[in-house]
Order: sequence, then C-alpha cells, then structure tokens
Amino acid sequence: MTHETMTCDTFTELLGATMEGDLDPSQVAAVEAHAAGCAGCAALRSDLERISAEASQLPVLSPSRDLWQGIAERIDAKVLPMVAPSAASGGAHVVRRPWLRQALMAAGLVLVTASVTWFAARQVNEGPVSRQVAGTERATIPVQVPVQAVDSSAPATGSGDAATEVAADNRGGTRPAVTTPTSEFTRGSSSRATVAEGPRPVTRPNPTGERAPTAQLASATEMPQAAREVEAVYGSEIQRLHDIMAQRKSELDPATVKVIEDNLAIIDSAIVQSRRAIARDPNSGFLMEQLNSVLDRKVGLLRTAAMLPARS
Amino acid sequence: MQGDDDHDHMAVSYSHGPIPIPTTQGPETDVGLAASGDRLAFERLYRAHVDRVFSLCARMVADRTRAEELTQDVFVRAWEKLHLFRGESSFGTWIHRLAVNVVLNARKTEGRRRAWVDEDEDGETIERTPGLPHQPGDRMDLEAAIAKLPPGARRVFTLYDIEGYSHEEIAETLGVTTGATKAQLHRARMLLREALTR
Repeated sequence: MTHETMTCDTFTELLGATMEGDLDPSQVAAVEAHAAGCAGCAALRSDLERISAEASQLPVLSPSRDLWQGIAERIDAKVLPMVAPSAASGGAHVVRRPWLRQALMAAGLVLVTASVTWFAARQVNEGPVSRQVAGTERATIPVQVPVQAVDSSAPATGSGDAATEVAADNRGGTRPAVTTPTSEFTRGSSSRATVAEGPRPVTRPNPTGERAPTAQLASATEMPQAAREVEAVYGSEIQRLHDIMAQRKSELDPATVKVIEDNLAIIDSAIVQSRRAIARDPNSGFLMEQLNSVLDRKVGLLRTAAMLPARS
Repeated sequence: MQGDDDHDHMAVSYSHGPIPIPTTQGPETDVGLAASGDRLAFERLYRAHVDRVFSLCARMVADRTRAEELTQDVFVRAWEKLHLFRGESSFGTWIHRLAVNVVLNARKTEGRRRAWVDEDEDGETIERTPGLPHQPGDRMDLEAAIAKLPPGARRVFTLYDIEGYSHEEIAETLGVTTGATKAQLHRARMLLREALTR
C-alpha cells in the first residue's frame, strides 16, 4: 500500500492500530505519507493523540463526603475474634453453635405446650368433681423410659437412651436412684429435682443394698451458658408439674406413683450424666441434643402423670 | 484462590503463605497490620487510596453517587480479601484491580440501566445532557465527554487511557479479545473528538 492509494477512510480505519503500534513498517510508512499530504487526516490523528494524552493527565477525583464511616460500619459487622482458640482456656472461644438455636426452639415448644400443665393445674384447683374417673382400672403410664427394677442384680435394660447410659455407668452393680420415702413428690413444692441449680446429693444403692449418697453432682454453674439457658426454659415447667404432682399424690394409686417416681429417677440420672458430659465438652451439639431430649422426656412424663385420673 | 476459610489467620501466620510485614514504617506496614485486623491501619490505607479508587469508579460508571457506593464496596471487599494479598504488586495496584472487578460485577448484577446517554453500544454520537444550555460553539470538556460515552467504550477508554491498563489486561478483565478492546478504544477516542470539536 502506498500513500497514493490510501484513502482517508482507510487512514481512519488504520489510525487506531497506528496509535497502538500494531502496523508493520510498510503500513506505518503509508499512513505517515498520507498524513503528510492530508491536513484533515493529520488533524484527526493529532486530536486523537491529544485526547489520549490529556486523559492520562486527568486529575484524581474525590468523593463528595468522607466514606469511611459507612465502610467502618460494614466491616465492624464482620469482625472476627483475633484470639485463636486456646487449649489453655478450655476451649472458651467464639464458636458457631448452630445446634443451640434448635435446642432453644425445642425448649420453646415446652412453653408453647404448657397449656397441658395449665389444664392439669386447673383440675387440681377445681377439686375431684371435675375429674373423670375411668373405671377401677389402674392407670398405666405410657413412658418411653424403661422402668428399672430395684433389684440391683437385674441386667440393665434400655433402648440406647439415657437410661441405658446410666445403666452402663453402673456396671459395678450400683443402680440409678430409685424410689425412696423421700421421693420428689413427698418433698412437694420444694422439689426442684433437675432444674439448673446447684448440686444435690442423689442416693444410689450400693452392692450391700444400703443407700449411700453419691458424690456431688456437677454444678449447673459449671455448664456453659447455652445449657443453662436450655434448662432454664424447662425449669419452670418442671417445677409447676412437680407442684401439681405433689398435690395429687394422695389421689393416685401408690403403685402408679411408684412407677412415676422410678421413671423420674432414671430420667434425673440421665440429666445428671448429660450435664457432666456437657461440662467436659461444652461445644458438643450432640450432648446438647441429649440434654434437650431427656428434659423433654421428663416434662412429658410429668404431664402425663399430672393428667392421670384419680384412683377410684 | 483461597476461600474464606482461614479467618483464624487474622493474625499474620507464616504457616499459610505469609503476608510480608516490612520492618520499615509505611503503607506496606499498614497492609500487614490491617491484614491482622487493625482497623486503624486499614483506615489509613483507605485515606491513602480512596481518591484513586473513587476516580476509577466515577469514570467507569459516569455517576458520582453510584461511584461513592461502589467505592465503599471496594474497601469492604478489600478488608475481606486482605488476607489474600501476597505483596506481589503494590497495594495500590491490588486495590485498583479490585475496584475494576467490583465495578464490572456491579454492572452485571444491576443489568442494563437506563441513562440519558444512549446505551446502545452501537451509538455513533455522544448526546448532550438534556436541559443543559447548549450554544453553538460550546465545547464539552473532556471529563464531561467521557461521562457521556457509551458504557463499553467508556470502560475501555477509562482503563486504557486514564488508568494505564494494557489491552491484554483489559481484555482479560472484561472477558473479550484485545481486538475488541482496541476497537472500543478507537471508537471512544473518535466519539470524544467529535464531542469536543462540535
């Protein structure tokens, strides 16, 4: 291509490549020659080159206001702890506990279904006339926790739940706490068997058949805040049910009462075991679920018992 | 690229690709401090680089208000990604490239936005701002003319002629060929010349 054959349109088409340095020597020569003979094309190239140069010299712009505050608010929301988990601190660090929400929701169901407790309490307050007496049959208590016989020689039974765990802990021959004259119901409203409080002694039969107090339970205050929150939700409900049962104890068949108390003892022991485990491993979602489950069972048992018809 | 799974290395750790902390004081020291979670150090970095980041955003989107929002987005993202900065380039270069990506990603999520400038990528002219007085002989200044370029041409012109990126870098960022970026650049320059000489 020579400058004699290059048209202005061709020059314009090649101008971009010319400015980028993408033309071969012959093309460059042709472009330069055309520009030398065409004022319009020369002005075009000059204008484009000036625009490019001026653009590179444009001043830095500034925002109309200080943007830092908005940035700080957004990054503050995402600040993570700078201290890494430390074994020396016993694992006390910020850890996500997605299971906590589930545990609290499950506990919340207790409150939602507290109408059962209210109805049972109303029955007690309104006297025996309002109660339905279902024949002369002894009421049975459909419980999920197997009843443990007092006989310490009996093999452990269970379905893999807390009772089984308790039984497994007692392979030395001891059994979980069973019915005693000082059962929870006779203690009445002062009973706060498994509410998240301080330690209390629990009697267990030793191989000789005598009952001896166990070591102090793990203090509820040793449990993490999450577990205490869960137990606090159950605590008031359990207390109300205990009060109801204490008032109704004389109305119920003694054998029925014994079954209830035996099962409660098993559940209480499972709760103790769960607390101890959580105190050792506060971040275990599994253990929190277990505690939730056992507390649920206790509430369920107490509610069932509270609604039992009086003996005829 | 690493994911966001190493927040436990807010403190500088040399076990997972260290962020170099120079022994001398200066901006690069602030980078190391900020990567460790030092907000004051990050604020110093912000003040050192905000204008350049804003300039890039403002010229690429031709909207100062939107550019301020994007600038904040850039620095928030920089805070999140600072642990990935390895010092292979200067922090200014790093955050500048980050800004380009933030602007381009914002455009993708927002979709095409109507503006008084013809958004048609095949537009042949730069429209004047409706309502602004126009007298024969009035010449638009370069900054105003850039703001009125079609978006594609404006992006390439900003990155190449203003910010100094190469065609290869622009093409990779935009996901196009260098031939396309060169064509856009030439088109931008031609349109600007027309606007500035009308």
